Amino acid sequence: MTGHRRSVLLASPVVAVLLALSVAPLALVLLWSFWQWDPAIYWMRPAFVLDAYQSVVGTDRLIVIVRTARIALITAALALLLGYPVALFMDRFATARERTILMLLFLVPFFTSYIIRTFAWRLVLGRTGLINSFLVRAGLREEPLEWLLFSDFAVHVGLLASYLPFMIFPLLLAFGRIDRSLIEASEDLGGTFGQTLRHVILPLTAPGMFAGSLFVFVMALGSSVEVQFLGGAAASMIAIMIQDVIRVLNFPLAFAISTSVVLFLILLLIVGSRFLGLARLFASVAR
Amino acid sequence: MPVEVRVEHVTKVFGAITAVAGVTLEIQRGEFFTLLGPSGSGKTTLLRIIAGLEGPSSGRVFIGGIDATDLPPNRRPTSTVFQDLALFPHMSVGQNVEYGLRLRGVSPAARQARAQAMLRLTDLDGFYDRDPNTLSGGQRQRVALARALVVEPTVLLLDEPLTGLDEKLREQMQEELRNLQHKLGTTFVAVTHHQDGALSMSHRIAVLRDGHLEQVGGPVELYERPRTQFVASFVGAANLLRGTVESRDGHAVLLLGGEALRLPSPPPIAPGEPAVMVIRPERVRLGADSRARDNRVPVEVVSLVYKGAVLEYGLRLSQGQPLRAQVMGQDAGRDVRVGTRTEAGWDLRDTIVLPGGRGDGGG
Amino acid sequence: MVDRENEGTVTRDHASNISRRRLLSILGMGGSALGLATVPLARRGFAQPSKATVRYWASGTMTIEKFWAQLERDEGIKVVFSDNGNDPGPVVSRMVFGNANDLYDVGGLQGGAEKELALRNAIAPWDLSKIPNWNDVWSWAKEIPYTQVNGKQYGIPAVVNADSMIYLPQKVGKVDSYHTVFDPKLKGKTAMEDAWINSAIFTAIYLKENNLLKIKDPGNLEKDELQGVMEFLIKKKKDGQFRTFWNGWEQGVQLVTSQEVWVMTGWEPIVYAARRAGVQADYAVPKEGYEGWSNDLLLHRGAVDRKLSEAAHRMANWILGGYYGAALSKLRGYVVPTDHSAMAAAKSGGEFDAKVQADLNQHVKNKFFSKKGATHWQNVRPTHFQLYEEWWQKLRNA
Repeated sequence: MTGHRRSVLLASPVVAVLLALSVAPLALVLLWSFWQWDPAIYWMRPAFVLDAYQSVVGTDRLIVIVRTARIALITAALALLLGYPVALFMDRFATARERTILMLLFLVPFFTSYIIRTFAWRLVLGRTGLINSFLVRAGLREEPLEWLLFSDFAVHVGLLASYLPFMIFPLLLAFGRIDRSLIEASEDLGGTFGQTLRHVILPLTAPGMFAGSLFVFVMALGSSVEVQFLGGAAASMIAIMIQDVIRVLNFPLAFAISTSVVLFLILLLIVGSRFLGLARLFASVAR
Repeated sequence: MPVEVRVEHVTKVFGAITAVAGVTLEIQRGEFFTLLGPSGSGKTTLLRIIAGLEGPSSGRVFIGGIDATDLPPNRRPTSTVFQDLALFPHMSVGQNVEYGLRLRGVSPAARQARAQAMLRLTDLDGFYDRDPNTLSGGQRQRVALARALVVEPTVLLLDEPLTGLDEKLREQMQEELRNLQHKLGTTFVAVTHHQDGALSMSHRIAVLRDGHLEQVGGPVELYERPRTQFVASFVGAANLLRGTVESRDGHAVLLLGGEALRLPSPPPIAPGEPAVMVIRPERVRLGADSRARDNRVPVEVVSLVYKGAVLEYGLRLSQGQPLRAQVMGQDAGRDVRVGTRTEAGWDLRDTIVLPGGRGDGGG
Repeated sequence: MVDRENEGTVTRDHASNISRRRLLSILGMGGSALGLATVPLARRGFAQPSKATVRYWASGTMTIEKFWAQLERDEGIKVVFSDNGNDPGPVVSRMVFGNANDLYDVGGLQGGAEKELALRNAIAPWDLSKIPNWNDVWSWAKEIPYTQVNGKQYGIPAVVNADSMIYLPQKVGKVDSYHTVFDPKLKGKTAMEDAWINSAIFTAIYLKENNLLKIKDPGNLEKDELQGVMEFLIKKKKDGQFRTFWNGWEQGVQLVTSQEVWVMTGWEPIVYAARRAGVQADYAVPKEGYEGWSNDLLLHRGAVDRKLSEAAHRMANWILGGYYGAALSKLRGYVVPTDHSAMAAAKSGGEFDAKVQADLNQHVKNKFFSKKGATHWQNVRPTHFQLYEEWWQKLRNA
């Protein structure tokens, strides 16, 4: 048996699992998104129509997708901005003990339900919450800050609190993959910390930055609780919209929205690999 | 020659382990200096202290007459070739070599020119755009060399530059390093555990053991006149014959089981003291060739290994002490065969007598 | 309603109150509905005049748990209860297109879906002559519009109640109109529920009763009425009137207890929870009237086919007979629209508290007589419910 054929055989269970777990459901979603919603039976019937997609484009639903993507993108960017220094500190400067404590600190909130975690921010950011009580009592403000809660600000706080660890852990892995000697070599050749960071550490942790950003972006894209709990009046996200649509049983529409989101993600990846050289990053992850 | 690097009473402690224990040494400007020792001897730690990658627990380091003890690596005039080479995997060969110049703000055109020149010097012409990950071990080593040398360090530090290369490549690299050092005149400080490499590359060698400096000297000095049993056995192969010094018929002899070996006079060790006679295997003569030597003992031939240019005999003295002998292939006596008895002899000028004591045995 | 211990877990399950877990089960339902043909109809053709098992598929709050044993003692009917998730959409879908009619005999759902279900022949009308206790159902509860289709009674209200607004009297004084929710003076201090099923009708009641918009039935808006209602809401939202739209029990309570919101439409138990948390909150008696709602018993067509109709009628009669009402009030504070429950509590020998039961009944009754004229009943399946959803998206994006 040739090596190639053997590897194909070895890979076939993997391929089967992949097909069963990801491709098949996606294919069904795609198929159903073209079916026709029949109000008479409250169900969809086999067809090949674009009604659902027309509805996505027609009735304010595209805006929700774009807005959700924007929130997810900002969240990923903020998570990178906040998470990178934390991961850098943990990897370069913290003692093993400090590192463990920090990791636990980031993990402990995950022992509670994310609903409770998100909910807790209302007690912090609310009109009578911790921050506003402090501001008012300290005489820094006469009236509490209204925009702290039920605002995009609160949504980003909630999303960051929920998903920051998904940025930090891939980053830590990426940091861990950098040989110490590479950093020493840079310093030895005259590099200041800033130069070493820019020329060596940043490029070598790019796969981690990308993986973390992708995690946070995708998770924020699918989030709903943070917006429901912390966002403004009836604020929407893709997940909330799909919930709304499923509640009126318009399954083709729900599937069309899902398909649009997946297409949007694929488009993002294509653009990303074209302009950001993501393929190279993936290759370096693989290496 | 002025002193380029001066290490003064340097000690480095890691937790419970003392890696370097009060080492003092001077490295001359323009010399090829090697720190030699087995693993755990503290040689790499010492190199890293010179580079500034580790700070000493105590002691000072001077480079070019300036106290560099507290200077970070990026402010020292040293460059290091790391054991794992530490080539930046996200940069091309050219970018790797230019890196130090880029940090110094050299213009792209100028640094490319200098990098190309350095690549030519290290025999890597045409590799500028290559991905270092696709190069062979020897080529990668030369990229690392070029990268370290392009910033024109006053001291080039090489951490195990010969490790990871096969034997042929290792010899080639030794020669290249020697030539390069000769051409540039830069002070080279290398760390190695390959004693043959150390002997062939270096002007001077410091032998380290358990963090202590055992002996510093040129290759010939270390080989011919080791001052400790450890140096004798670590630098080149050596027979160590242990016995006690006795006075017999007005001559000092080394009593070794049934044999009484002649010692040079005046004897370097007082009678009654334990002593070790060091004889290099290639100085041991066998059979007819052993006649008329200062010392001559009966031996049993235990083994014979053919090594091309030389034959290596494993011998046993009457009381069972092992003795190794190396004979040039064409000189081998036909009468010396495994299982036979013969005689081994050597001259006093080919021996070194060191104080005995097993604790100093080592290597 | 009364103060209850278990409000945190058992509340009136509005459509909006779906947990994520439930959402998953809805999604799962999509798959199972497609595979409906595989369900075995084991009990088909079984007719049991006295002893029977009735599979009751209703909102999770409708079970009386261990107290069902009494039904078996009284009528020889064993109840197997299943939670239907209370989201009308999926329930209707499974009834009409899915396998719910094969799996369950009697349903229980927030009122409004009867018409669809009857027209799709998924449910059968009740024969009221076989339910003697129907005579004693409070008269106005017999007349809930969505329970009847073509003059036949398809839904029997097993629970009735009415909702209005929770408010903080120390902040806004006494509230007797939905106007307070929309009052520009309270900009940023009010809230509604994040569900068109409730918020559209509250707004419609307000607009109709104050003659701001011509509306026939706030529970079932015509297209142009819906447009008027939603445009009003969207404008209010754009003006920053609402602090947020609340979602689920815990959020609703927290909004009030933290005084983040001073007045909001919602469920009465939130008032009691807020008081327990030390916040003085009241439930409004609105001059425009409450939003009435009922949870109705439905006779599945499948039960008739399986000759379980007679047992189902006896079960319905028993549910109106008093014991069920007393047990449900004790467990959840809900009221069955009949005085039998008070009588049953009085006769229970201490198992149920007669005084509490009587007060509870009166409390609910009062709500429906607080205003002259028609009560506005919630309708979970307005004719244009797809349009409701589309308008709700517009509101979200506004």
